[in-house]
Amino acid sequence: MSARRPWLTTHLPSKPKLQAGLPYIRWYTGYWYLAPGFLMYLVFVLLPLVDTFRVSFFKWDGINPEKFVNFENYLRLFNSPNFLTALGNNFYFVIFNSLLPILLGLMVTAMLTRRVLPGMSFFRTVLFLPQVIPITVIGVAWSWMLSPLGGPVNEILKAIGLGTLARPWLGDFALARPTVGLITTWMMVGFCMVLFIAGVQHIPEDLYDASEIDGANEMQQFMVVTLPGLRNELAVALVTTLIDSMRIFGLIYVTTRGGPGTETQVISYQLYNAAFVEHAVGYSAAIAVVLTVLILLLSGSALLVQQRLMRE
Amino acid sequence: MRKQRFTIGFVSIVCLGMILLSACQPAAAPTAAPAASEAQTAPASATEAPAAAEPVTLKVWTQESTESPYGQMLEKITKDFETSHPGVTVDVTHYTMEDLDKSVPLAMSQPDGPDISQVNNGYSVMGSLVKAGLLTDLTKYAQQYGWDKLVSPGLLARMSFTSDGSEFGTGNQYGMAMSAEIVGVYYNKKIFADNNIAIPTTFEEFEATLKTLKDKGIVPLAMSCGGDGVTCIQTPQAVLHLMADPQWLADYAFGKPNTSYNIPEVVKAAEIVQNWEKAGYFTPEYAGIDDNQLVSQFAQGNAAMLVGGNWWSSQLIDANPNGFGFFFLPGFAGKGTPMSIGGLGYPFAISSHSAHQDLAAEYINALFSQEAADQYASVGQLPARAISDGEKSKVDSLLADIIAAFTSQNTNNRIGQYLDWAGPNLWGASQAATQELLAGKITPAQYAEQIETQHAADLAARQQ
Repeated sequence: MSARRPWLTTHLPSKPKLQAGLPYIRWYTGYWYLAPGFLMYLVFVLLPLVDTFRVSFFKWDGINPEKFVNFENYLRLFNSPNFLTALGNNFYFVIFNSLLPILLGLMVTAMLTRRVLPGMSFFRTVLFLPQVIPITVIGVAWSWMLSPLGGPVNEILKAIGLGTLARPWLGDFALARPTVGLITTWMMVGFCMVLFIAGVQHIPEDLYDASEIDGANEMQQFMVVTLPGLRNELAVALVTTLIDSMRIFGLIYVTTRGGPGTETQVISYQLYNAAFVEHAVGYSAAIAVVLTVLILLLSGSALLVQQRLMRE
Repeated sequence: MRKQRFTIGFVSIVCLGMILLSACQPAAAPTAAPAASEAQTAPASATEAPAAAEPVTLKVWTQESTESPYGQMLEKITKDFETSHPGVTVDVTHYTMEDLDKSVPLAMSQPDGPDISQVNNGYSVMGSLVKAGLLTDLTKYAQQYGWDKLVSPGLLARMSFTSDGSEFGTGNQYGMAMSAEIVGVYYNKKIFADNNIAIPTTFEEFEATLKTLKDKGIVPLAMSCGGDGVTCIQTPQAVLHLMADPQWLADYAFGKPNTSYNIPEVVKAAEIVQNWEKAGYFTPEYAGIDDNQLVSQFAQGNAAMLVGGNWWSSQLIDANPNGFGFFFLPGFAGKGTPMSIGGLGYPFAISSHSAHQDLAAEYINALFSQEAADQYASVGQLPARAISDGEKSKVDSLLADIIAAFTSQNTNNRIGQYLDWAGPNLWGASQAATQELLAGKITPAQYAEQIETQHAADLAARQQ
């Protein structure tokens, strides 16, 4: 075996050794292939990101010249009572958009994967469909279904004798938030489920056989074999759904516009409002920066906790 | 190997096709039908009398869809204009109001932006554009074409800004609107007739009518608080207009500093409306429906009255011709000056970049002609200038009522203001506050305070 080489030489891209039959490839050719994609990424993602950070220190209406205002936008944000309300609502939606779908996803996975069920692909497809439907369509369809004027949800309740439960779901102060939350759960369950089912395929069958020999029942098998085996998929699901919960906007805009009152007000909605209604682009940039930092902190710490809990 | 090649080839063609298709999108995204009126049949300019030196294209942006009555009227007037101006093509692009508000500021600063566009009054859009020097001062055209004779100065002021865009409601005129607006009370004629109800002439009579209807089991007042919240916001504001000082209304709406929303009249108006909710005068499901659903329901006869703007008239006329009437919300007995929320419609403005200033002004004048006004009335909408006598005899009774109400209030200088003009966040704040007020979550005093807090914040943000 080779002696220990200095760190630098082991970590630089090294010239690939020529193999018989393959054409000669220069060692840096790979970077040429990456270049176009990276250029797009640079121009359309990274540079605007940096520019947004820059704009957050200015006051700008999108047409007239911008004016440097230092930290004023940030101060305005932190002094705004609506910001705390919105943040609270975002955390509330984390429960419905992130935690609940993961739990339900795990449950569904547990039920669907231990045995071969006929029609499995059909169920998988149907449960995943909400991810495929555009968010505006979801919002409009659910608004219609939950409408107190002849919407199917209330009509069904009345038909089965539970008419007293019929409500203006999206307009009721107590019910609007959980209702929107449940719609997001409906959207996310499919995603989590598909992720976990794919993950379960990678768990070696012998682990299950071994645990069976040891006398584990279904539930114990799930806790001891399946769950740890889904460690990575859980991490992905957690981070993705968390980010989604903090960014939620389209559904709120189409269904409740942040109402009633400030019940479903969220940070992204304030961002949209600042940029497009108030024409205060600098302020909306500040909101964007704060939101990004929040998302990074939240998903980073969630990931850390999850990895610690499920350490091998 | 062949199967692999086939798959790769197939996928590449599909991807290429998708890329090509996405490149075919129109540059700006209109809503329903894309741009319309290239009505050139044959290149007649050769045989015609001397046309324009070279073919000219006038770009017009509007927030009216091709299906709306106004949108259709715009198409017709545009075709007539093209016919009478050989060599000129008018390219009309249709947006929704929200999309236009967002696209216009950016577009007007581009050299190839629209020549003419509808521009929202207020500081956010029109004010910013005036400040950036992107709109043409229309005062000379107003005098040339006599627009200032046909529309009262109070209404013209709502399209005026000082040349630096700092003050609204005074200075030069930057827009011209074709339609007028008034908010009043729609009523279902059949319900009134069946229950022997007379049109109330005082506010006290109006409230008594609400009680009578409720006792008979009819929904007295249609209301919705979801969606855009137009009815939700305008109902307490309409009541406020019966009590507030006209000068305060103008000062507040034009965003003058040192004005406050937290005045006793606002609190009283809020209290009245909250009491109506408690007495059950509103549509039972009001919390969960939006204005469009509400008006559809009202058109089918689900409620007796609706506090709304004239913009619903076409829909109601289509659903039930001569089935609805309109009156302006009557004032308190003994207090003679009931104002009505209202003004002019969405103004058209000319870009200062446009190479065809005079032609653009001519086009706008065509939109404001007597024929245009008559056409507008024929589709059930309220034009800004008076319609001809011939047209008057043909209009639906609802529109006749609306025209009478507007003319009366306008002549007496009682057209009030859209109070959300005072600040960009006031629409959202008013909707949230009204939702909370009607649900009993806040008191009328808190309602006034909440809206004033947002108003003060908006004023401060503008002063910086």
